[in-house]
Amino acid sequence: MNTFVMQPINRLAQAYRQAPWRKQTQEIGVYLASLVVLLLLASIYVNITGQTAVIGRQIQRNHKAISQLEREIAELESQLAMLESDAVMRQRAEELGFRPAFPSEITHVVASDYSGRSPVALGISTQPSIVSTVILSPAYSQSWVDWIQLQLRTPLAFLDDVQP
Amino acid sequence: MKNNHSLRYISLGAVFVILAFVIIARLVHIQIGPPQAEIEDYKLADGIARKTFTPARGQIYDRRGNLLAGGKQIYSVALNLNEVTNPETIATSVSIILGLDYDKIYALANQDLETAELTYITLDSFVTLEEFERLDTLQTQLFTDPENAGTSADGRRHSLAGLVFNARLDRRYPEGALASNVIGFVSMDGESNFGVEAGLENFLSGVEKSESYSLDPNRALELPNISPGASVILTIDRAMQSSVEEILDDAIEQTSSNAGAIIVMNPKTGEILAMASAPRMDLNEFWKFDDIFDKSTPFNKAIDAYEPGSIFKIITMVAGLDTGTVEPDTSYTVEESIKVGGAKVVNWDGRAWGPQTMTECMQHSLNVCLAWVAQQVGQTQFYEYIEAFGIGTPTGISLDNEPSGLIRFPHQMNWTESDLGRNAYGQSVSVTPLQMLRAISAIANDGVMVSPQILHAVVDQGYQYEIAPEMAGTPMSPDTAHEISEMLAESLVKEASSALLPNYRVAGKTGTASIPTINGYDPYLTNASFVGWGPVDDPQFMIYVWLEKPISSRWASVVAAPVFRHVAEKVVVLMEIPPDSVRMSMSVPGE
Repeated sequence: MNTFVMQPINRLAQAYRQAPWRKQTQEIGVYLASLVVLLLLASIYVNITGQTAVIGRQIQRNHKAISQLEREIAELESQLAMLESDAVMRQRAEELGFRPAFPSEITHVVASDYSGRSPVALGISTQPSIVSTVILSPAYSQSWVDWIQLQLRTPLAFLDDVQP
Repeated sequence: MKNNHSLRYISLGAVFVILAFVIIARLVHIQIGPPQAEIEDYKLADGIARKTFTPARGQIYDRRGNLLAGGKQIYSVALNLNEVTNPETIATSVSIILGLDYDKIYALANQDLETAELTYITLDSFVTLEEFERLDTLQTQLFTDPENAGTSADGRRHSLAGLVFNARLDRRYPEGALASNVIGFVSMDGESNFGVEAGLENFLSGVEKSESYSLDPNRALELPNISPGASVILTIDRAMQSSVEEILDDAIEQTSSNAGAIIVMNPKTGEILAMASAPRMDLNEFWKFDDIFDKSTPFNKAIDAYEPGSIFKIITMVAGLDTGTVEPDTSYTVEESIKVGGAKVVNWDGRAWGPQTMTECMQHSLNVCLAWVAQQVGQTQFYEYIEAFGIGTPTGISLDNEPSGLIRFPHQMNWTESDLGRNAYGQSVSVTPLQMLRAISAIANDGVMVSPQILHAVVDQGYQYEIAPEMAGTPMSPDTAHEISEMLAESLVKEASSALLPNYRVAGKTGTASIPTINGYDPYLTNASFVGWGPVDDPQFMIYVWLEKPISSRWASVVAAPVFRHVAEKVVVLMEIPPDSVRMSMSVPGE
């Protein structure tokens, strides 16, 4: 009974497997799948390269903007210094009725924690300290092509991750 | 059915072929068409640009953080012939706004691209921010609103296309002439002249680099990183500098002096708190330099060498005291003259003064007495002291062109014994006021000499590097320093000097020096000087005054001593030094 029933099914399955159109379909499928994968990779590559170029251009623009801003800051600092120059401040003080004091007009008061006027500090420290830098994995910066090239140059690199 | 399929395939193929041709055509267009010229212009063809990077010059501040020398944004305006569309608009705008010659600009802008020698021509390298803004606004208006731009006589639409602006920083001196002798200036060609501008050039200018860099956005991180020049903080106090300059100018006017200099120094650290010199110039108008300073006028009198006269007697007396040859009370009968090496030395008034103590010799500034002291010390030891005091050697201050002064030593061929007598009272020797301050700082500093400093700190990459005080030797013992200081304080009181400052005990010495000429010493003109310090028990300031060729009086006690007092009055206020009585009764830390 079983043999009688199974034989047509096996024949049908065999016929299905051996059908010429199915083989063609398989081949086309594999080809299309490869194409899709390739297109996918290509589109990812184009996308990343495009983004990198855009960011690169942004960096170039930022460099120019930084230079421009530095010049503007220097210009504004100079203008501010001119507005606060000794001659201007003296004139303003005189207009407000002030004049330089003579030693005899000054009352000295003891302030225990006052150590006199200190010179200006324009830097953050008198001695350079060690600057900590963040070391990024190459995976964060390398492109897909860079990664491939790296793997080709070190073909057995992936084995390093294999544990006995 | 089959034909339908073939038609579809052929159509699809045709579409792809057309697309491919479009892409290829565009590629060819980019490579050999007009865009390629643009790429060439911007040197993008090989993706590499070469440029000389000039770092921004560091700024100069006073000790309180007031900007003394900063940046000024200026522009260069150039023509890019490849982009010029209307030479007439360019010539008109540039001639009106920048004041350049219309015909010349028109001729340049109207050149044929194929025959023009240059396609990039700089029209003006020193365009102000205001001028740039006018041109830039006009250029933007004509570009963004071409419909309303109108046309020129030849029918072309008005446009400033092809006009290129490049910004850079020039030097600006917000304080004008204040401390100009200390700061120096940077000229139009970027060359630093005088003062700290030239003396600290290595710090301020940074390192100019000529580098190639990729214009490829994927290599943006390779852009050269050019560090700006370091900024410097000077030891100068703007308020004190201003006051001292005002006093100097008044003194020169009142005494009809030719020129002058005043230096205020902290004798413990060597920090120069003020350094005034006359004449001065507005550093923003540096092109007037030749009008203000002729060949015989130094840019900074404070570092100009001259015969100091009687101020030098301090060094002679120190040699006498320190070697134990004399003591403050040692008596010497001062005759009308004394012969040293065959040369006759006479007193300033040409008369004999009789028995005088060493303190009185200093008080009356008696040449005969000091020549005798030098003789007693002996030439070998006397010149050892002079050498130890650094006479004849520059102080090493960060100011350009500091002279070393001049002194002949016994081992030199041109020295004669008569030099010993003349040197004893400050003749046949030339020093700078700064050298004298360095030497005399030992008296106010327990025998330790300090090197004068104008540089307080260097600020680079956000860090401030303080410059430590530099000791320049110990030419005398602390006891000698105290003795001579007391002698000079006492002599000021005894002669009721106009240098005396109420409520503060000060010490000092006048110097009236004849001026050497080709035909000997000038019988009328003098250099009047005064050096003083205070408070005597804890010196916190040291002041040097020099008036050149005063006319109202030739004597330093008349013209220079009062100037010292005026300066000291300002200094004690600005340095917050309480009167002696207050200071003695309480411990008040100084600056």
